[in-house]
Parts: sequence; structure tokens; C-alpha cells
Amino acid sequence: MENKACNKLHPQSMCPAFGGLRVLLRIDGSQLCMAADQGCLYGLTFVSHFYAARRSVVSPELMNVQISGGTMIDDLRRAIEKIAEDPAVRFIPVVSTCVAETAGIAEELLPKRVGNAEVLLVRLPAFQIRTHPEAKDVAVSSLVKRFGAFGEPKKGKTLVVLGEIFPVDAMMIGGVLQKIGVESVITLPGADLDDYVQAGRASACAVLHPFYERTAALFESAGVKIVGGNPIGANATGQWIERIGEALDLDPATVKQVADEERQKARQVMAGFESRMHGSVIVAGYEGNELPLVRLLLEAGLDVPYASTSIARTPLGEEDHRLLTMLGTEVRYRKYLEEDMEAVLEHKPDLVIGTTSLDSFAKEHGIPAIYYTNNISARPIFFASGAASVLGMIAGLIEKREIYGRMKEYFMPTE
Amino acid sequence: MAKTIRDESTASAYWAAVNTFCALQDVHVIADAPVGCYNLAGVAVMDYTDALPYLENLTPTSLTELEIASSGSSEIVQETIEKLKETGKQLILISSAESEMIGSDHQNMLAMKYPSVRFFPSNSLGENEWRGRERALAWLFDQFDDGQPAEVEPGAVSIIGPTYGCFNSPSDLAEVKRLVTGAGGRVAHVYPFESKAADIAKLKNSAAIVVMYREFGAALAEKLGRPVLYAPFGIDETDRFIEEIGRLAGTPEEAAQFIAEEKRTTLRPLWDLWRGPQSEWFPTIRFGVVASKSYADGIKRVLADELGMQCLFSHDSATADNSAVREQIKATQPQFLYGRMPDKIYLAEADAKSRFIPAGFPGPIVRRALGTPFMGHSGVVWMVQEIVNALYDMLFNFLPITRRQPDSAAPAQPLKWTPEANAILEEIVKKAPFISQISFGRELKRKAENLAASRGADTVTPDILKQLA
Repeated sequence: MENKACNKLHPQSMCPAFGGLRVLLRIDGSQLCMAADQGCLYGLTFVSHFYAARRSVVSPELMNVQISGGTMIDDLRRAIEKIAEDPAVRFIPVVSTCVAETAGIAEELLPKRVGNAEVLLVRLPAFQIRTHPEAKDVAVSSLVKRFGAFGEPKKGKTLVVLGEIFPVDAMMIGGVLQKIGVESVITLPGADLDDYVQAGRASACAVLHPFYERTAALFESAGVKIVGGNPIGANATGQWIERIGEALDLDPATVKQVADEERQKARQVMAGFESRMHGSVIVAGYEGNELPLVRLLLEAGLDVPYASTSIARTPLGEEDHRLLTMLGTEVRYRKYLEEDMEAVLEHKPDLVIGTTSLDSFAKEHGIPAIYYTNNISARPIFFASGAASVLGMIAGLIEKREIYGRMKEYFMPTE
Repeated sequence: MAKTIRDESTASAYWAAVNTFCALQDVHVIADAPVGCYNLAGVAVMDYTDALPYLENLTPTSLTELEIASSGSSEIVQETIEKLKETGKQLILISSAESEMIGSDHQNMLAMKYPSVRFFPSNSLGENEWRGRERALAWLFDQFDDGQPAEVEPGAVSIIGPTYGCFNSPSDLAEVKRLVTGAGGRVAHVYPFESKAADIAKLKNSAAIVVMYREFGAALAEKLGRPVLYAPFGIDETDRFIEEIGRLAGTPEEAAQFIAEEKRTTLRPLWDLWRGPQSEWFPTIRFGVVASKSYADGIKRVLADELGMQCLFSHDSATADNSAVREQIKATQPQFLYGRMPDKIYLAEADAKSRFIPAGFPGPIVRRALGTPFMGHSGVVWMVQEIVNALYDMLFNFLPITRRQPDSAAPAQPLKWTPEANAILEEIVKKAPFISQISFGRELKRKAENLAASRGADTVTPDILKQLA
């Protein structure tokens, strides 16, 4: 389908740096230090306290006075040293954003270690990184590169699971992997610095989200096998389990048995929803992991005419891209709000799973809409139980369409 | 030496420009900024401070490496203007910290190519949000005043009011309007909210100007050359405010009657609570405030000076050092803390039992209903009502209760789970209400492991789970 020329004005992403802050702020024993100006600091601290961790964000003042005075790097060093006075701090991630990056930070002028704390500079300028999912990749790859114990012997049946997932999903993945004979699992982004150390000793890495390109490349160059895909929907669940088995050289019979079981369980769940899966859905989030959800919806029998995301098309997402395109979904990358709005008008879907901006537009048209980030990312989606959770919510929303119509008519009556 | 900042709680002048100009009905703002500055100010934070899905009249130039490292932002600004010039709105281009870093000044370009588009240099690397709002409002007057002499309308009162990002402003604005009207005045204009850019020319025709906040608005008020009042906190200040409005509007008798009526109506609950047992707790109440200056001073005046509670501290958020605030909160643990998101974190870090009452940004809070004022007579009553209800809650929590003791500490050694036991756990967890599945699952898991451990087993099997059920 042709790409119409609408005005592309509003890119859809959180501030990219936030993606990195979410990863870094959640590490135990860390105390974040930012190199950022007041406005940047205010906004990023706000969203971090809301969405990342109940932890302080510390920064040396960075305004005209410090920039023109050339004291930025000394101020930063002093702030790092002050943080390190607390012996409980084991890790000081230093995050530099647009203004500090434009002024220029020479990494060699920062310490690598102070007191009990490791110090790591992570550069997250929005003008370069573009989206928050990609900044997660920058943060994770920086951590793995610095701390990964790649020099130590590999542990045979050890798997890194890469991608932020809901805690219940992590439990589920752990359970299934244990069944097929995986001996230990490291989930990244991790809450402990040691997770990043141990990740270097794994023999395979399952990349759940397609934007972890830098991190995947890093593992691959260190001889860690990369497994693509994720256990979302019946077909992919079975396939994913088999791929893990193959990558870790596990007992094929056990792997096949578990894969078949899980595939079957997911099928049963989806069959249970069959009578309620009518209608079309537009998926237009900005988290970078939207396409697997589209795959699940299509497999469950819904129509998904349009899907979009904030990230660029990547090799890790190619499998989904081909499948969805073949099944008739128009896929857009690096999308703008205006493209998504146009798709809503064109397809008049029964449900929109989008960004807050797009959702408000859909609701103005009486269409049920939910924020992908709050409702999909904060919910199990893997295996049979994940499918049940997601499809149950979606069926419920489509069935409530009338409420959305009534509210719309009340506030914006049709002439 | 630069100071070290903990949990920056005051935004910059860039935010001030977005929050001030976007509040005007006929304005569309172009931010010469990277995507992050657009998202944070216009979408992510706007969602949680002002409860708006996003600012529809804000568009970024989305600066990338190309503009930063080589071309500069002039071209992308022009492209953006081209896409927006058909909207029929007054376009205002503002600089961001990043565009200031690369020295983007569009004044001359605009004068030559787009004379109707105005450029506001935010000075985001030099000024905070309060100074920024002050300057943005004064700038609007310089840009849009008609230069005509004032024709004062008797009784007209205009309010230099909130912008986006002003904590609790709908309730406070409603209260100020109620007071003005009650005193016999007529609310003529509220600026920037409820106005178009050029309405600024009409403000000077008012008999009196009310400035909502001590933080900003005074510079614009001075340019208008009319008598100025500040929005009041507490009984006494509010009475003086009503009298002064009455005097300036030429309705002193109406104002006096209104105060008398307030004592019988709006303020009556305070008199009843004062005579009742509730107020006898007041002298024992220890509270602290960290908020914007108007709120920090106002809350202290009401609760300590007028009602006799103990004020442990009252800090202006724009100048407070949060590292010191954190220590003070930990050391004093006030019974009531009026504060911001960082203060809530400091309380949690200290395991303090304080009652936290949101009183300022940063922090996600919906304050769009009109019934939660801090200002005026209504503000006194609302604050007291909330305190008394919190005291009732505290009392409730002290009363003894009969309940089962939770058996949920984790076992000393990690235990293995058989696949069957895992499957049963999954089934049970699925039946729990969705919102509590995680904690339910964790608790059940621990109980099962504890039970297994107490029997000397190293593996959880289905029979263990069955015994728990």
C-alpha cells in the first residue's frame, strides 16, 4: 500500500535517555549521576520517579556558567567522588544527555572506579539515539561490554534472556526452560550488576525484542549463540522452545515434548477465545516490541490492518516483518503521530493499542484505545497464560465499544 | 564549584515557555528541540501534572545529529513552519537548551521570511521555570499589547493566572474567582488560560489585577500599571483580599457583607471543628512543607500561624537543597508532610509513618476537580478537613484487630520445583485477581517452600501445594 504524504510533525518516543535510565536506575547498589541541564534533569527525574525507580537522581549543576567556564568535567568528577563517599554505593552510572554531549565529555577524564563503586559513562543524547527502546540497547550493551565475564569459561546450559519482561513472564520462562534442561537463566536488563558479569559466561542469548542490536552483536562476537523470536502465540512458542533447545544442545526428545505441550496449551487458550475474536485492531506503540503482539492477534483471528513502531526496521525483527507483511498488515517504522492518525481514519478499527497521543485521537472518534506501554508492557504475554491475559483484555475492550461511542457523543456530538 | 543537585525539582525556562504559550487558545508553539524535550514537556510529564493526553499545540523540530553537528537548525525550523502555517494559529518559535548550545537564533531569519512568526529565546541554560514564566508573560505584553491608553472598566478584575505545570491551579483559580465575584468585582480576563495572545492588551483596562503566584506574574502586572493584589492564603489574608477588591471595584459594602456571609457558610465548618474536639489535636500536629514559594509560605501561615500547629520546616522548592531536605525529613519525620514526589521517596527511604499530602510538582497527581483548593477561605477548610480525616485514619490504624499471621518469609535455602507442582501453581495463580497475581504467586511460592523446607525436603511437589490449598 502506498505511503501517503501526510505532514510528519510529531515523532513518537519517550525521551530516548529515559530508556537507558530505566535500565540503569533499577540496578541494586547503584547511584545514578547525570550530566544534564536543568530542564532535561527535571523531566527525566520526573519520569524516572514515576516509571523506573524510587531512587534519587544526582547531578552537578550544568548551565551556561559551567559550560562557558569549562568546569563541566571537573564538576562531574567531584559529584562522582561525593557519591562514592557512601560505601553502600557499588555502581555509579554516569549518563550524559544532549547538552553535555554537545559540550563534549572526554571519557578518559572520568575515573573507572572510586571507593567501592565502579563508574561507567553511558552516552544517551536524544539527537543521536532517536528512541527510548534503542537507548535501552545502548545502556545494556555498555554494561555487558564493561562487566561481562567473557574471558571466563562458558557455562554449558546457560541462557541469557534479553528484553524487559513482566515478572510473571520471567517466572513462566524460568519454569519452561527448567523443564527442557536449561541449567541457569540470566535475565537482562538485570537488577544486579552481577547479572551483567555472569551474562558473559552464557552459551546462548535469546533476544526477545528486536532493538537489542548492539547487545546481540556484542554477544555474537564473543561466541554466544543468538536465538531470535519469543514465546508469544502458539506457533512461535513451540518454535522458540525448539530453538533454545538447539542452541544449547539439549535433549531433543524432551525439548520436543515440552514445545508440543506449550504449543498445545497456547492453542487451547486461543481456541477458547475464538468466538470473541472479531474485529480489527491497530497496534501503534513506541516500545519497539509491537510486532510480536500483532502476530498473536492475527493468530487469534483478529484483523490487524496497520502496525507501527518508533524504532527502525532491524534484522532481528525481520522474521516478524515478513510474516506480518505476508498476512496483510501494513508495517511502519520510525512512525510519526500523523501517520498513525491517518491509519485510524482509514481503517476505522475496533480497537487502537497506541501511544497516549494516538489513543486520545481514537477516543475522539469513539474507538476504544489503550496505551501500549501501560497495558501491554505491564502484563504477561508469553506462553498460554500470557495469551489468555492479553486476549481476555482485548476481547473485553472490543465488546465495550458502545461506552466509547456514548462518551464521544456526549463530548463531541455528531452534527 | 558547581553545586550538586539531588532530584531536580524545578524545571527550566524552556518548560516555562512551553507551559505559558501553549496555554493560549490561538497559539501554536514550535520548539527548536530534540525529540526528548518535546516528549517530556509536551507528552510524558503533561500527562501527569495537568492530566492532558498531550499538548496538541506543540511541535518540535526534532533536532538530530545533522543539525547539531553541521547544518544548524534554520532549515528544519523553516520546514516546520511551512507545515504549520495553514493552521491559522499564531506561531511562536522557542529555543531549547540544546538549540541554545548550537547558537540557533532565528530572529533575523523570521523577520525576513516569516514576519508573523515570533521568536522567544527561552534562555533555558540561564533561567529556571519561574523566572522563565515571568519573562514569557512580559514578552507577550511587548509583542501583543496594542499600545492604546487604558480605558478602565469599573469593577473589572483580571487575573494573571496559572500556566500549565502550576500545581492544583484549577481549584485555586476557581476560589480566587469566587472571592473576586463575592466582593463585588467582575472577572474580566484570566491570562494566559482562558485567553488568546492578543487579549493581553485588554488587561490594562481592569480596575484591579490579581497575581495568582509570588513566583511569576509581577513583571507583567507592573507593565499594566494597575493596582495589584496577590491571591491569598488563610482567613486573615483572604479577608483583606476581599476588602481590597471591594475598595478597588467600588463595592466596599458588598465586600463587607460577603465576609460576614463567608463566616456563616464557607468558613463555618472551621468554626465548628474549632469548637469541637478535632481542633484540640492541632497543637500536637507536627508538619513540614516543601513546595513552590507561594504554597510553602501560604501553608505555613494557615496551619502554624492561624491554627496553631507546629511547623517543623517550610522550604521553597526552587531554592531548597534536596540532600538537606532528605536529611531533615529523615531526622524529623513530620506527622504531615506537604510535598513533592522526591519527598515521598525520602519518606519511604526512612520508613517514616508520615501522612504525605501532595502540595507541589514534580510528581504525578490529578488535581483537576475544583474542590481541592489551598488558597482562600475554601483552602483553609479543605486543608483542615483533610488533616482531620487523616487523623481519623491514624486512629483507626491503631485499633487492635484479629488477623492471621502471615507466613511469608523466604526459606533459607532455594528449593527446586517439580514440573507438576509448577503447573498447579500456575493454575492457582491464574485464578487470583489479576492485579494481585504477582504478590499472590510469590506468597504462595514461599509458603509452599517453607512447608517443604520444614519437612526437610529440597523439592516442592504437588502434595505440598495440595496441603496448602
